[in-house]
Amino acid sequence: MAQVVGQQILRDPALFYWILFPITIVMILTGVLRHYATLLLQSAPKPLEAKAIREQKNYLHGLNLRTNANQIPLSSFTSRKNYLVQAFQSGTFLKDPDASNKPPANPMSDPNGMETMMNMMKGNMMMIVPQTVIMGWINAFFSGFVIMKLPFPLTIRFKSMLQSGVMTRDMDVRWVSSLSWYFLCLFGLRPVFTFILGNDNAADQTMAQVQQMNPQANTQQLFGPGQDPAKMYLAEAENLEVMVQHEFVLDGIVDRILARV
Amino acid sequence: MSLTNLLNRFKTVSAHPTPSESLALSQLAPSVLNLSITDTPEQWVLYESLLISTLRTGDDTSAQLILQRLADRFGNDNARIMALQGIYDECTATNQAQLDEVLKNYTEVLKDDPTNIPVAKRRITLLHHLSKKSEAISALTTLIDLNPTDAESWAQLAQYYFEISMYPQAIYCLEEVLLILPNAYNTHARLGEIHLVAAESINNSGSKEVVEKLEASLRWYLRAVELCDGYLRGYYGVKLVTGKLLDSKISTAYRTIPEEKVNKLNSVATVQLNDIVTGSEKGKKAFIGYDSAEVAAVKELLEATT
Repeated sequence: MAQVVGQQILRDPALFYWILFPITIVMILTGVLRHYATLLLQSAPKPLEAKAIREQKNYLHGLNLRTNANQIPLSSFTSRKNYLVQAFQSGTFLKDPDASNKPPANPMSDPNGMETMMNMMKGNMMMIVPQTVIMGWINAFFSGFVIMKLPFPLTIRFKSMLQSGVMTRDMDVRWVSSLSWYFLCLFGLRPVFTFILGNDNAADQTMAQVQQMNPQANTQQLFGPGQDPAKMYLAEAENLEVMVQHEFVLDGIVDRILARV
Repeated sequence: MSLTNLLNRFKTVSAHPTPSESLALSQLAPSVLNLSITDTPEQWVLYESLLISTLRTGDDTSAQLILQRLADRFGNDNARIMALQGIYDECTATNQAQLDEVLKNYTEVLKDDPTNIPVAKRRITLLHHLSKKSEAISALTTLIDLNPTDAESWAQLAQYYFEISMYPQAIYCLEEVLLILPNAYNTHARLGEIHLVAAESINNSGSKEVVEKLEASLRWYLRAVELCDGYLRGYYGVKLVTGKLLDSKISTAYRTIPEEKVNKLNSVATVQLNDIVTGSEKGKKAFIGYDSAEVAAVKELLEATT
């Protein structure tokens, strides 16, 4: 397939004002609107109850002891280790100690899990509904239009990306169809939203997708819905138990200081 | 003055400002309150700091206004606002009965929501202030059982234990702080101090236990100095403890650190302390920020030992 050098297509300049411009404006406006709608719909994260906090923080306590064990004398470490291992194994810190024998609860039935899922659903709806509507709108009104020419050349691979909706094999890749312009806006408007709404906006959907990938990252939940805290505690107890190496940082401190001067 | 300027102004003052510093800060109240509210985190941090300063200097009218604005923004049932309101109530209480009333309020709030950490901490402080020390300690241990990864609680508990001379418990608590913040050199120095006080509380000076404690103290101080160059309290401790170790009353049989090394450490500390004293007296750039009272104490120590 030969590239036609300097391929010329006569375009009505009105295409620019009546398609390129409206699509861009509409995309920006929906982004802003989506941001505020998401803010409205999002329910505030429910504060954890005391027992859940206790369960999580005591687990972290074990982690802290393990990572910074060398900061404290061996005797202090051993006594703490013995205490924590015993407490972890007997499940003292568990939210409900009896649950350890039961099979892990279905995440759907966990009210906390439901909450997160509901929030995720709301977020998803905020993405899907406007996208479907706008795409339908573009397909209905502007399908098949070639609306602009990029000022730089591109390789053939970009054809499917830039000319979706236009079935012309021989057209130069630099020509962009209206549907493709929509996609470009969808993924490329992020800096615009950051400029309008600030860094932490909900308008940009790529961000939202990242958040959906790891929903636990920025919630208070340390244990995800499917995880069994009892098992994690047992594992941590084992980790602590097998820790034999202990090098107290104060050993040899005298020589270290003297060597420094 | 702009928001950033004001914030920086507050940041230059230490955590324990002198009365004149507090007054200077509190006099910034009009310029802070006249700023348009931009609803940025920085502005609310500034409001909070200003609230504390105005309460310190008795500017209750400004404090009331600041608190009102904070409450308007975050709501009266916000945990932090509740604690700030509590501080305001404590400060404006004029007699015992009113303080008891505030305490009762705290207890009520905590009954409804035991996870309200700021208010729980206020309650503990107030209990301690009202000389109900054992109650304060037990409340603090409950809080720590809830969240053992909060360094502030552990440090406070160490302080309370220290005040009632329960040194092993205080040491335990500070070790917990180190597990959370392994590079907190001030905590290392504090451990040195507590070991030193514990050593001095033993009657039989020169016994094995005393030597062990003194050496432990020395090591903690050295670690503090290792983590932070030019740390006045650390070097002060090194100088003090090495001086005690070199004291003829202490039998050499129990020592694990050889005398020559102790001697060397002593001279290292002396040199460093001398540097700090002369440097801060001349106002050299590298020695700005030392507490003048601490520098005076160093001078006294140096004069006493030479």
